[in-house]
Amino acid sequence: MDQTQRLPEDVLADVLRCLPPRSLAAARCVCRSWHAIVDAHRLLDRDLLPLSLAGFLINFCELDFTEFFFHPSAIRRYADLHFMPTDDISVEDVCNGLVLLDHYVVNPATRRWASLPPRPSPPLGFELFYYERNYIVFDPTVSPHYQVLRFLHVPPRGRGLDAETKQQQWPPSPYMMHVFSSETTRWEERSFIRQGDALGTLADMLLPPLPMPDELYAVYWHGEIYVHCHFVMRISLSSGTYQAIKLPTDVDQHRWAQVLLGRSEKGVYFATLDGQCQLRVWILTELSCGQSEWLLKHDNNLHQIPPPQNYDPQVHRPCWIMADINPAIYSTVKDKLELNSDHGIIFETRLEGHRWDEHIKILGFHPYKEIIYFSETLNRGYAYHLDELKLEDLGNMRPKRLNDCYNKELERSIPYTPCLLGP
Amino acid sequence: MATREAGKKMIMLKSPDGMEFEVEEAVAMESQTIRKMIEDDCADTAILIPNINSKILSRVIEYCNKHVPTTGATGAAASDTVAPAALAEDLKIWDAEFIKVNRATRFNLIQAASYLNIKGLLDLTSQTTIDTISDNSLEEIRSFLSTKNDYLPEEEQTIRRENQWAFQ
Repeated sequence: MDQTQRLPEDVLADVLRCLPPRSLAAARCVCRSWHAIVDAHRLLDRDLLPLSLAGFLINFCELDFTEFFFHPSAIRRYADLHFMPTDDISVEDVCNGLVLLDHYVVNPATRRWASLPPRPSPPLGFELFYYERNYIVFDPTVSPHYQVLRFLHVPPRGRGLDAETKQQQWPPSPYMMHVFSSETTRWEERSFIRQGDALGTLADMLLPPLPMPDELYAVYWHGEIYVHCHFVMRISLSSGTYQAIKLPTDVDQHRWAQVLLGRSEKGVYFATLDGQCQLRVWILTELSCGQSEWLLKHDNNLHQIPPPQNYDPQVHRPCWIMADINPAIYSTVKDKLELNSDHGIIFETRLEGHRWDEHIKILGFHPYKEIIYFSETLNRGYAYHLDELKLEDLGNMRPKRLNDCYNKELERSIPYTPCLLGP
Repeated sequence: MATREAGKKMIMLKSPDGMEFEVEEAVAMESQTIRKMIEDDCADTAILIPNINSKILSRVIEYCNKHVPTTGATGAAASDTVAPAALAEDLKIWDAEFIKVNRATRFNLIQAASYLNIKGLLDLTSQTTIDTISDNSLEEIRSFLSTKNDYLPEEEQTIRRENQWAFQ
């Protein structure tokens, strides 16, 4: 006999209400009635935890504000950060619903924010590593506090570094980094001890080209942060250690390929997309000896998967939406562009034998499903389901203001999963 | 009765099986549900507590007696001689003894605590259930609580995927 069946639904809801979110999600899987109770009493609010992908926060080179390309069920308001006391609304990083701006951390779902104290000067020996990126680490199922990691990348082609430094074993141990903790509200210089071997000399590291700093992402997974540099640095903030993981072997051969580190269903993923539209995806897999290995999950050419044709917004489910936060400069230009962004006009180009042009840009991974998102010439967004080799058209993703820009490049795009917990 | 002192208002609680319990108003008001009835003046003579049999109701009263804040003549004496920390420790030991009951009784107590809205008792009685859910795998939760998995295999897979982060 089911003991819990003896408890009326609202009593069981009272009991379940005491559970932390992680256990509540597990409870939801126990049986149908528990699932119904958790949902009916909204014990686990959909956006309470960062469980659904709302869309991508996208920085364009010449646009002032980060744009938001989002799923129709997401809340448009999440993109509007104009309540912030700054004009510099350019997203640096996002982790579990918490957004890092230049000097602020903000939760767009709760509209709460905090300012960060000024960043300290680089640690001794890292002064030339001005190539700086900040990554935010936040896991509401573990702690209400967040940390910001200030990571100093090696300057491009080792510019400014002397020969002696370049002969140094890389990455060095300890690796010095500044970490801000919302618990102490201070930046702290921390040293991270390498576990396992160095990967070679710094000069060796510098041989393959590194993407632009804006294309270097960090991924949070299982309490550790994985930073994409000339390799992948797996950093444990709690134990003060790190491990250097080589990139998948043949990445270097495709010099002009786009590369992307991301997080998806099974953990840490790495994707490359070369000029011939060959898409490869690897998954980082733990080996028993404490080492990890990249397993090739997907190796396919996008030309074999043409985009869906004759798209009809009347028939298909709603497209994603571009929030279009950046105001148009001239109203006349705006009017003209509005005509151009009409669905029908764009779809006339979708003819038989469509070839992807080379302006395919990876937007990022779905954090919970094996889906990779990309855009074609920044006009349309697509979701590519890796397992089914299925392509989904997400609709127009071109901000109107982009047409006024000389440089139309996309700088950085980060998946955003709203979270009502935490700051 | 020894506890019955002049100036203390008494309340009569009745269980559906006909038993009557005379308790101090302060003790009865540990229950937010009863407190509301008293404050709304719906409790002139006796309050009928539906759904809670005399066995469970007597245990609930026992709990409230122990947990009612020790103020007033007798209470002041107690807190003068015993340090608050020791008092809290004593309560904890008492609670641990109190909850040593079989599963059916515990579930009845949860139900009573929920209906009578006694937060402390609800926390105490559901803690074992909460610990079971927090610390165990799905299969273990089901087996401890004798809950049947009524999902179809593919359904369960979808649900698990939705809540994947909880299993990481």
